[in-house]
Amino acid sequence: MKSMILAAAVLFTSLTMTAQTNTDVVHQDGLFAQALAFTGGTSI
Amino acid sequence: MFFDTFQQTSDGIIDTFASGQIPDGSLQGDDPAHVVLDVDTSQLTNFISSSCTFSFVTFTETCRPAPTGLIHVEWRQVRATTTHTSLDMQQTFFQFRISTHQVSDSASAALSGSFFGLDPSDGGGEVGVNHGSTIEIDRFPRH
Repeated sequence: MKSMILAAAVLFTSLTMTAQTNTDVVHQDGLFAQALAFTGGTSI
Repeated sequence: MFFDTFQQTSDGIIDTFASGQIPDGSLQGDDPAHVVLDVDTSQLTNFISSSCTFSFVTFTETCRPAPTGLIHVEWRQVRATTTHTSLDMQQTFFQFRISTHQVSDSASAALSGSFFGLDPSDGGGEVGVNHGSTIEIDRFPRH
C-alpha cells in the first residue's frame, strides 16, 4: 500500500513539473535588436 | 522574439508578455546599420501571448490571451554609443524569467515604425551581433 502512495506522488510531481516547463531557448550567432519605448506617463 | 508591455490603469496595471518563434525572414538586415522587423502576430503558430490585469484595489489578477496585431519596427544605428557586452544575467518579471548568456557587439539605434499601432520613435534601441549567445525564456504558468 505504501508503494502505491509513493507512485501516485511521483506522478503528481511529474505532471506539475511538465506543466511548469514552458521554456524557449535561443542559441544565437548573429543579428539582434532591442527596443525600449515609453508613451505618455511621467518619468521621475 | 519576445516582448513585454506595461500599461497603467485607474486601479492597477496591465502586463502583456509574448514570446515564440517568428519566420526567418521577419527580421531583415544584412548589416546591423539598418534592421527591419515585420511580423503579424495573428499569423504565428508557435507564439504565446498573455495579458494580465492586476487590480491594486481588489487584489485580483485576470489573465487572457493578448490581442494579436502588426509589428513593424526599424532600427537605424546612430552609433552615439557602441557597446561590447559579455554578461550572464537573470531577470524576473511578472510572467516570465529570462536567463541570458551574451557576448555581443552593438550600437545605439533610432527606432521607427509601429508596434500594435503605437509609435516607438520616442524610444531607443540597440542593434548589433551576438556571438555564441544563449537566451532562455521561462514562462510562469498563469490561470
